[in-house]
Amino acid sequence: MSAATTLIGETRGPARRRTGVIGAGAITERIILVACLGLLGLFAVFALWPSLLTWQDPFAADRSLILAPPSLTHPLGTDEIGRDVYTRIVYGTRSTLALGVGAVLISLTLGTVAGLLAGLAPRWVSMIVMRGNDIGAAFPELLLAILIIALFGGGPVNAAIAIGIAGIPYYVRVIRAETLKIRRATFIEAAHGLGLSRTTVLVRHLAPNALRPVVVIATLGLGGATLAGAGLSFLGLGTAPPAPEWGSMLSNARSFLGLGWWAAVFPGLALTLFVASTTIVGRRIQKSLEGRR
Amino acid sequence: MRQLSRIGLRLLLAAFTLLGAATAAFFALRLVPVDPAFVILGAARGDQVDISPEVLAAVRAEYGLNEPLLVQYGMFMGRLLQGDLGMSYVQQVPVTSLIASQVQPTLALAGLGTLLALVLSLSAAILTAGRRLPSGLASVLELTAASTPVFWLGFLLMLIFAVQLRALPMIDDGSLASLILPAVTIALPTAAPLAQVLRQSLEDVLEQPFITTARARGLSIMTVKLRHALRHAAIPYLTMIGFAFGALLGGAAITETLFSRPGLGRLLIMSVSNQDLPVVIGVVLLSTLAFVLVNTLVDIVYTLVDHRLNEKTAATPGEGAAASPDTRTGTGADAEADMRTGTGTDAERSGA
Amino acid sequence: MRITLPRRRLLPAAATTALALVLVSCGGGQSADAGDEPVEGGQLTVALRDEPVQLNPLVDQGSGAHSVRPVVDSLVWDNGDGTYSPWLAESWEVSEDASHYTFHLRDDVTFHDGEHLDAEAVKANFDFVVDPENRSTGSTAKLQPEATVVDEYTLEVQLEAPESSFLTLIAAPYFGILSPRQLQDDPESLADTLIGTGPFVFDEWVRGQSLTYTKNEDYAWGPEGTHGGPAYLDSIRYVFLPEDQTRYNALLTGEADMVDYIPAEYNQEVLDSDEYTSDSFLLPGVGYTLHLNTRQEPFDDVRVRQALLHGLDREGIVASSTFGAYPVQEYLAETTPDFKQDLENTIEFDPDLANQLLDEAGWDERDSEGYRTRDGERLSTEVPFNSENQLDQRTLEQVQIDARELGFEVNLLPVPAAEHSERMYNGDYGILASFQSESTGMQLWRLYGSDNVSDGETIGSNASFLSDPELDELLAQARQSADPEERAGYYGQAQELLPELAPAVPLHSRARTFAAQPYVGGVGWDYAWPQPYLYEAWVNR
Repeated sequence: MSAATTLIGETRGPARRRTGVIGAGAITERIILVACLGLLGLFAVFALWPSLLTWQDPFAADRSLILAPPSLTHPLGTDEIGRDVYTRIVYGTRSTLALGVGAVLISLTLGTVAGLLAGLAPRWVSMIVMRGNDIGAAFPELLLAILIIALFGGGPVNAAIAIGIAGIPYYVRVIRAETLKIRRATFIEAAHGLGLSRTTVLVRHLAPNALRPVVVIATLGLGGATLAGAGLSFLGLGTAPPAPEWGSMLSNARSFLGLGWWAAVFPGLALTLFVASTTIVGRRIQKSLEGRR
Repeated sequence: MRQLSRIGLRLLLAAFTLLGAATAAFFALRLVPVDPAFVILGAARGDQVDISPEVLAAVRAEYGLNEPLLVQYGMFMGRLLQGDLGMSYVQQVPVTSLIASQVQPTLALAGLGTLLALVLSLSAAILTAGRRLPSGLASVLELTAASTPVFWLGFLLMLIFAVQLRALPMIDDGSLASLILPAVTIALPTAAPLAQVLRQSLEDVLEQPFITTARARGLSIMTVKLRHALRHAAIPYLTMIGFAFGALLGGAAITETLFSRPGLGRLLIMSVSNQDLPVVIGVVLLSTLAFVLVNTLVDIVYTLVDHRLNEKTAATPGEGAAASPDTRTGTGADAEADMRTGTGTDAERSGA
Repeated sequence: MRITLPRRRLLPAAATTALALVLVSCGGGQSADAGDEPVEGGQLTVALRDEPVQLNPLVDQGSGAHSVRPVVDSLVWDNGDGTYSPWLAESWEVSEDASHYTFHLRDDVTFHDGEHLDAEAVKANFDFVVDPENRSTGSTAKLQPEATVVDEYTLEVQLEAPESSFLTLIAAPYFGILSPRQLQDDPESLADTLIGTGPFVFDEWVRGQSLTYTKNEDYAWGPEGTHGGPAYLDSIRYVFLPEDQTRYNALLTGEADMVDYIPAEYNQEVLDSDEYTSDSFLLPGVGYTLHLNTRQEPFDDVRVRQALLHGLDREGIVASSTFGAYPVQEYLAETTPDFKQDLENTIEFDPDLANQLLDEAGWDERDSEGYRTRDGERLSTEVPFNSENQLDQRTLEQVQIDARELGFEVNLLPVPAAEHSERMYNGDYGILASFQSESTGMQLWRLYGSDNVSDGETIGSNASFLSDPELDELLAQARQSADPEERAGYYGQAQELLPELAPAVPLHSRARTFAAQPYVGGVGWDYAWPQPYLYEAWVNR
């Protein structure tokens, strides 16, 4: 989880003039982007209104259809309990996304506050924040998440909190670095030169610019947080059964690949598609922001 | 002199970070409402056992669990300063020897994993940069690898290469061969973004005027890539590598569990779930120590380099943009944060 | 009763997929057959599920007992049918009330460290488990045995209370006899080294990876019925693969010569396969059971407990969650020596009765989600469980589905192992699901006898907190009956009574299945605590 979480967003965006997000030509590029947006839209529909696209009950189980292969009634087969895999993927979208979004929001909010503080406050405050941050960062992300779950128990809410908190140190560093850079930038110096007050410069010029990359890291971080949630499910610390969630569906079905590959492969596919789509869209946003700069 | 005192300050801060982490770990774990005496008696493993009051009392006395929390904390810190992490509650052996026995397998896994990530990302980027179709294909593969949960990736690799093809062993027997599959599992999600960063840098550099000049002198595209482009593209890539290694411990926890390999990651997961407090604290402290050491070292190196660069820049102010990318990256943390966001460093912007 | 699922058809479907993932291409099966004659030499690699957290079998029953049998011998050998054969003890006498035991030891046994086995040595082992300092939580410690040396090779043991199953308990690996020198002079070393009298000598434990034993050339005291001399194998190497699929893969790839604890989902496949030799033993004892907390609502009402007992389609639950691998059981697994064969009071699936009982108990209203209510309160309970065990989780999910049919809400709460134990001891659960195995009806006393109810000071294994005088009396009688038939009679009556008291819903018995490559021969069973017995195993590659 950790490698993927931390590294997912690391391709840089600037100077990407000719080649596109995945290195294809401009037209292919656009097609891919549209496809990704379409996918994310579909996932959004799944999450907001699951019953629109499936007529089955995600909890209904048929004991005579344990790990039944894909068929007309069960287009993606049934799982090890005898439930419809497709329906569970649809209903599982909400909790899967909620976990990712929740975690990102937590990292984002706390990380932004601490990051701005570290970048703008007097040296000694900055030092305290950054040393505290170092302590936090010294715990591997996964361990920190597990520790938090060990303290407060499992479940989707705690998993989101755990992943969110574990992600904070990274956001703090980004925001601080960005703040420091902008503080030295010419237009800020110019603003000071024009005699604008410190607060005005901070609120009107510095903060918005420092926060710009936040949109990007949040979008890219969404994928990472979702993968982290799946990792927790693998270690048995995720969502409580029988609630559907992609990571735990994949994790629960992993032992039955020889008996019913569909129960694991399709939730796994949903995860990968979702994370890949957020990455592509995130980089696109990044590109357009860089372009404007 | 100023540098020496700055370095001294860094070391002092590092020591404080360590003490802070130890304190945080001790109290955080004590918040868990589980009586360590049960853990020591093996009850945490879910066996329905019968425990007499005499046995409970004996355990509490032996481990000092009847003392107030602050006294226990004092005892813990006192022993810690002497390098003693106490006895494992569950495994009944000293924590230091337990950890010592698990360091090597994790280092081997992370080491080979990093090496593979380097080789994979270098070859993927160099071979495909600037060639539209291969570059696109590689990008798709990289994106997939980076978007798939590590445990699932590992499962698929195991099934394909060990079970189907019988090409590689999957069970650890101490041999190098049995290290390959886990190392690939841990390397792929790391290699994917590395390759993307490097390819992008290469493609940017390939568009530079000096490359066109080199090509005009009749150098082959591969020579240009290896001799010129790579040198300039290397800086952001190198910055990321250190960090990729740091991210491997979390990956190791999952990979070691999946392949049932020994190592710190698995020891940690097992100890957290067993509530083996002393071991958890031990592993946490070790990882903090490693992090703080690396970070302090980087800080010190930057302090020294920064000094030299300042002098150098003052002497030769007008160096070409493409030749001086690293002089303006600022501190290590800044560069690292830049890499993670992909916002790009000054160097890249100036090079573009 | 064996339930087969229509599942074999899954295989061709999977094979046609693009990935064709796991499918068993068990090629390379041309290797030599083990043959009937033992072959000397070679190493046997055995994949086990759980790694011991520490080795000393005298300290706890869960851990070391899985993998220390090759190193330690016991006083007697359990034949699995309520009879015993000589092992380190040549003969023994049991008092009328099963509380006093006299053992006559062999005089030709030496420990791996050269110590001689005599009455003092065995006494050191009994003394070790009794001393609270040593924190022994096993069954033997519970009985507080007091050992007295009569002469060099004769030892008397007096139990605190009668226990007719004592010989079974001490025949198990968790009362393997250890070197008195190690016990007395170097007890710290017991956690990661063992010195016993067994056919194999402890060699090395690489934590997280493997445990290796080498042959004891001087061995000449195998249990009655064996060849008696040194083992055939040069060494045994246990590897620990907790991940079910990985362990099963180790059999397919041939990286393990033998794989123990074949997961339920692959049980039938392995037993049917011609590629491997395999054997399966249904573990005796209380099995996988839902213990209902009788101290809390709603299970303080016996009618609610009975409703759950009859309202769950146990056959359906077990067949689907175990993939038809394991049978449904009553309060004792049918392989338990004291299991009553002609049980009259069996648990029948009767949803009408269950609904009627719940109505009678006052849970007769329904809320908007269809759950039963009483005075506006929903009929609901909580099951904390350790989600590392996938079979447990599947079973509980099936239970949840059936309970919902009854209008009974069952919430599953995945908790880390540590929290699990904490809840267990505080009685903080509605249902505690657990798997318990011991080769004696005495386990009924440990789990349902009022002696074993936690009381704030003592921590007990009676997870339902049941306290019933009639049951207690039957269990006490059984424990005092040295005569096996008389004992089985009392335990039989207890089994007839339990469905009335309904402290628990028994679900399945678990099979311990191992599979080995065809060149492995001679693997037997140790019945005292059923596990493969490797003393006479050989490899013929």
